[in-house]
Amino acid sequence: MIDRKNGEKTLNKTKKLTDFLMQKKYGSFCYSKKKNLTSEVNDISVVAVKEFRRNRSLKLSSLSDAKRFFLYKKLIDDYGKIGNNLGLSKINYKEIV
Amino acid sequence: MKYLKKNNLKIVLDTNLIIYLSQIYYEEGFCYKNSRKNLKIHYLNEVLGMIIKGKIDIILTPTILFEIEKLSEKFNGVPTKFLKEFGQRFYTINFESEEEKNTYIKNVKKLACIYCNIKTNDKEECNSEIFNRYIRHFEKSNSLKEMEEPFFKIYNKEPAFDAYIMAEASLCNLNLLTLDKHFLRNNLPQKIQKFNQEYFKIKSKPWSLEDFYIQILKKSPTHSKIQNKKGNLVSILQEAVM
Repeated sequence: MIDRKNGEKTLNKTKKLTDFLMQKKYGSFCYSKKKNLTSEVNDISVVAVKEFRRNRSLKLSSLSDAKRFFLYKKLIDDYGKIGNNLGLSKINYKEIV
Repeated sequence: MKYLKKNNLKIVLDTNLIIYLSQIYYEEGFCYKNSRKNLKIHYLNEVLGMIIKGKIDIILTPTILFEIEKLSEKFNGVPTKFLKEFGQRFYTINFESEEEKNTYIKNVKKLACIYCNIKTNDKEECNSEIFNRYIRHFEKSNSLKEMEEPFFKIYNKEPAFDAYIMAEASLCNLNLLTLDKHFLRNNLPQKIQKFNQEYFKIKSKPWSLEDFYIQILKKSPTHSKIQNKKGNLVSILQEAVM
């Protein structure tokens, strides 16, 4: 959880976690279907809390939801880039549904 | 931006299938001795033929594309090479706005929870009639009685990865062609199909290669030509490329 009394510490921790996520590229989340997801989900908690508070409009119901939401959101943000790099076609979501 | 061909078959391919197909395409040595698996290879060859001939449009969902990218190194980059070569046939989902993306993420999460019979705390109504219908039902009954047991497991109160993959396929209203036994065990495809149809009016289900062959490939106009070659991989590919 965020240490409210020590903003700087929190900021550093957040940066570390962001770097960590970028390095890991959400590896275990994507790689192992059976693997326990807790560790990576916990690792994103600081980022999630921060974003959770910043993005009230998202109306996420709990911190747990926020963690999962942002983990998955980061995955989807990179999804488009990977698709572009591979030269894959794109289709608008509206057209599918 | 591309548009899906009207008459083309649209499908979500699971990671394992893309890896197998890429191996078949680039490494012809891919062969099983077991007769049952030989049959599977025959089906895979036909799927590959359809992809090469452009008769099939494949949607790569976020989790599946990430999994392929992650696993590709283990297979010497063959799966991603395959995607690059047939990039025209593989579609990624494009979100036009952040709002659309956020709604999609929340819907995937919700649906994954539903498949695991986890009650979500999120009472916000989405922009989707599908979920509004579900939420009304779920809040009344507190659980889905029709579901004898959750379709997928839960890990630390979170839906299993399989539940996410199925949820993504369902949100695209497409079948998930897979070899994964987790999707195909104990009549699960039929149960999911019935469930999706009943609650969400969507047709998605996990699809085994055998069922896909019976329902689609056998009826395909290219089928007879491929059959005449008696499963010879090289000749199928040559014909398909022509």
